[in-house]
Amino acid sequence: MNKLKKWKGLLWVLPSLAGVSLFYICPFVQGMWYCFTTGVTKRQFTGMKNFVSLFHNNAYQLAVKNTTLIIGASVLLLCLLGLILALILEKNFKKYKGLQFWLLLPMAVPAASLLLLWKDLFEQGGLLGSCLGVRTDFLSCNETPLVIIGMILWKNTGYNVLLVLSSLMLLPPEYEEAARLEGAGSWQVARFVKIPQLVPMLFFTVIISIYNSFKISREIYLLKGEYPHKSIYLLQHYMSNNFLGLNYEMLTTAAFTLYTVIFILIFMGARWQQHYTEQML
Amino acid sequence: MMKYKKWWLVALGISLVLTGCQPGQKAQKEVAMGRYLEESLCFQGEDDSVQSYQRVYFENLKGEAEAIEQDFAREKDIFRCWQKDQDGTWKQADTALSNALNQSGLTAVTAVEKDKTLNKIYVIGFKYNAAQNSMGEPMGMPCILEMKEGAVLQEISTEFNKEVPTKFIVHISNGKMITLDTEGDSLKEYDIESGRKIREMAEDVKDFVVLQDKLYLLKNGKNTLLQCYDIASGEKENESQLPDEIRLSNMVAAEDQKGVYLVSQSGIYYLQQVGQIPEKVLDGNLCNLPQYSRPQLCQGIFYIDQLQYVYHQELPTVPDRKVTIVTVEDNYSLKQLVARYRKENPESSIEYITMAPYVGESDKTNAQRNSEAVQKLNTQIMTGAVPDILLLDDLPVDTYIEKNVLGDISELITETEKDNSYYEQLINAYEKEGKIYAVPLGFKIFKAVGEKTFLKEGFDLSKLAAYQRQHPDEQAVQFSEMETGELVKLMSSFYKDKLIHENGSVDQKTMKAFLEDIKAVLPSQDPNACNYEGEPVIIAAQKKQLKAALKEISTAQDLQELFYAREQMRDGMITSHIAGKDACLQPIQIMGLSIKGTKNEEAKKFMQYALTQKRFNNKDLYFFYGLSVEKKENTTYLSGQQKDYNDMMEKDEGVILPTIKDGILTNVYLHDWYTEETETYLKQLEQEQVIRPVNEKVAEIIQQEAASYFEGSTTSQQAAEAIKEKIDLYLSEQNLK
Repeated sequence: MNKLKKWKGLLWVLPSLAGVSLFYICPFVQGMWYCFTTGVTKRQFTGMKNFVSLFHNNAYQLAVKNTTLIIGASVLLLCLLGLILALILEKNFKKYKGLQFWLLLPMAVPAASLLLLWKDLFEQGGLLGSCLGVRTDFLSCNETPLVIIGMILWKNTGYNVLLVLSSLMLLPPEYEEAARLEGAGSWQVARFVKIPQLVPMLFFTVIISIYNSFKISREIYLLKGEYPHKSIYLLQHYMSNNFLGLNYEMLTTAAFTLYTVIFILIFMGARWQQHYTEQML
Repeated sequence: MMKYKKWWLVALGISLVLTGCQPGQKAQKEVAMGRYLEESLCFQGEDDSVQSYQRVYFENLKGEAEAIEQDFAREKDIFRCWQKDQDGTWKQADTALSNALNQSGLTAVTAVEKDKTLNKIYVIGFKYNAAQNSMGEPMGMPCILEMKEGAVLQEISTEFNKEVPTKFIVHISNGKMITLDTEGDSLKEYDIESGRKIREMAEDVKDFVVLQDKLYLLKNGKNTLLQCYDIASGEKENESQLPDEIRLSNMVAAEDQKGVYLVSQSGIYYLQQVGQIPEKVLDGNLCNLPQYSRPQLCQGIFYIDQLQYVYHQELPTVPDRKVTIVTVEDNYSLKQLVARYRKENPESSIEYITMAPYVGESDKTNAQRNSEAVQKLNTQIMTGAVPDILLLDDLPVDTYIEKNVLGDISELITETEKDNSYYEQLINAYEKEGKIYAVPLGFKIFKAVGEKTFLKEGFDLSKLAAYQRQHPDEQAVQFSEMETGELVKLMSSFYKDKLIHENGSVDQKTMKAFLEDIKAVLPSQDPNACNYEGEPVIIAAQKKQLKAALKEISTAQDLQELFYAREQMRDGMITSHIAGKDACLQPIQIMGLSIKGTKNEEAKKFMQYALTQKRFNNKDLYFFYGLSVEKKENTTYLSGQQKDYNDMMEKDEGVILPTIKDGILTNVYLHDWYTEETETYLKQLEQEQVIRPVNEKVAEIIQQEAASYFEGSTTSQQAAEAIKEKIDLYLSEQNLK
């Protein structure tokens, strides 16, 4: 009877599973095959040659460096800002109606519509340049990563705030009350009572922040094309340009490497988060 | 569990039935037979000469097929008449009607319609009168004549034509006429005797057809609509939207009056009533249907431009030998090649696909569409849907060679080279490691035309820029009509060796000077000085001679026009000495066979055919004419014949260059004054080197940064640095460094 239930369950899941297999799993497996082969119309097995070639490629190294810096800084700042703002807004959240709308608005605005705004602010002769009295194109200089990080923070901080806030609202009030009775201040309550309980949500926020940060490559592509300034040349540019140049093996190798790194990071993070939560309990 | 097993059995049974597996029977494949075949030139002049004409077909009072042919190049006797024999051949008919037409004062006939109820024939055309238009040219006024027995033409009332020129007679019956007016493409009904307008029926009509008592209209807008009107009441009865592939089509009524044919580039379709799905009776991949011509159907044969389409029962409906050819932009010469091949090989199906057809947008938008088309093609290649043959002009040839998308065509070249008819440097332009992957079917010759004193040492950008800086108010150089980006790309190709080192890195100092030189030349450009389309040519001349020369040049890559231009320049000279090189040939119409194509015998056969056609790269100077009509100014040039330049020299015919001078069509004959010059030039071609354009991506990077510099956003130093950085990044990314 249990086996029958299992088969029945599988049947119900089958259409969805078929779709996921067709559009995700099969292309993923095919991509992995491309990592170990070369050629366009006819593929030949090359072993690890593609990986060696990738890691020695100067453009790839530059892309990895830039991506790590920009995404790393963005994720860190997103999580910190999200947490700090959520803690500040927690008490007054219900008082200000419409706060949710304003926090989510930057994320809802289409990227293409924002391009004009970014250009007016940061291009040569833009608002920022005028305020500083310089004729620098802030989208094509060594300081451009700061601008990109700023764009990421502007777009995604509100969403992170809401995520953390929603968890804060659900925390049992007894712990905070007990801490206050013991004489703990706001900072101590936050650090020793609230944040430890928020670790699962914070971990989730990190994952979402990584995902949202990577999406900034779309804005960079729309602003500066396939070959932007070297300081903002990201992994996505490397992969996209290799697609246009029919270098599918380089594209898939880079993508697979990125996937592996993120998988390991998230896996380790999940294990740590699980271990921490168990210790807390 | 028993119920479960039965369920699987039922599913298995259904799947077997669906796949058609029936024990004891073999599947039989029936081959459908019969299709239309394109045949060239239904009319043949006695002397096989190249003619320019238009033709209108009709059924005469005796019920025989007849045609009025009008030759706009003739100074008198514009009209000729042809009749179809019992054996199906067209022969020049009795001269009575052609004499009557030539004496009628008509300058053009646009339609001939028969009123079957009254058995009358009406000819609608144009006559010149004393009035002139705003350009000072004589105006053509429309008129309608009735064609009576004995080839008598009697003009009837034209009251209703006085203000609105009528384009076509839509329908004549019982003394009433529905016409399509040129103003707003509107449909109006008139009484023939009085000329009184009875009613207005519709607007924005692209084409029309009358079937019994119904009027079918074709409207092209965002969607292509087919509407059905009742002629008596003028009310719209039905309307349907046609598929996208039938866009930009024309209509013709079936002779049994039971249906309508729609003719577009994708094919000829038939439908019996509005709302039906049109049935394809002729696949556009099997012939070269012109885009904008009004078809005519007479005794079962379609007449479209100078071609006829005859039904052959013995041919398979769908040929089994297929070849796919892909090009980014529409290529006229390649289409003609395909059309000729189809005629000679009716058992083959050639699918000609344009990835980014031109629809009249700006150069910038077209460039973007081309870029998207290349991405789409690359995606198709990745999925395995590789076409058999590629026209590589806008495609990354080097990348395709590197990635084994293109196959080795050395053995095809060997066959072609047996008579040593190709310029060696062009054959080997795309050779790698002893294999040839692509061959240009033509080439452009870059030349400078101008004053001897300025050009005797050849054209040089730095010298030109230096001159321009010293004489900022003068115009020493006029480039052809092209965007600044194209000019940068062109110059980058000339100076490629100096701008980019062998290892791929950019010489920043030279790049800076290069950008500054182009910027120095740009302000002197007069966008109104050029009025022709064509490939870029560099012209250097004194201002007073410049405009005179530019008016006469139409296509610089055509040698005969070049000689004509030279004729206009006093003390002029032609030089191919550009950027310090003796001569430059840029390959065009570069054809390659894909890896998949090398396994397709039909594709190899077509490639061989393309290589053996006489083109500019052949040592015999052929002027290749296409097989459809080309309209320039007010003249129709018919094609269909090839002329061997040497052959024409022997017959002392000279090279004919039709041109418009002072508003009048004239012919310019280039005789053997230029023979010696031509001989010298042909010998020079033997030594000319092939200049392959700079890598497409590198050119794009240079263009983008140069644009910022020209706008004043960056300095030349910054632009050169940015170019160097980006090109280095590109080369490193693609492992080209």
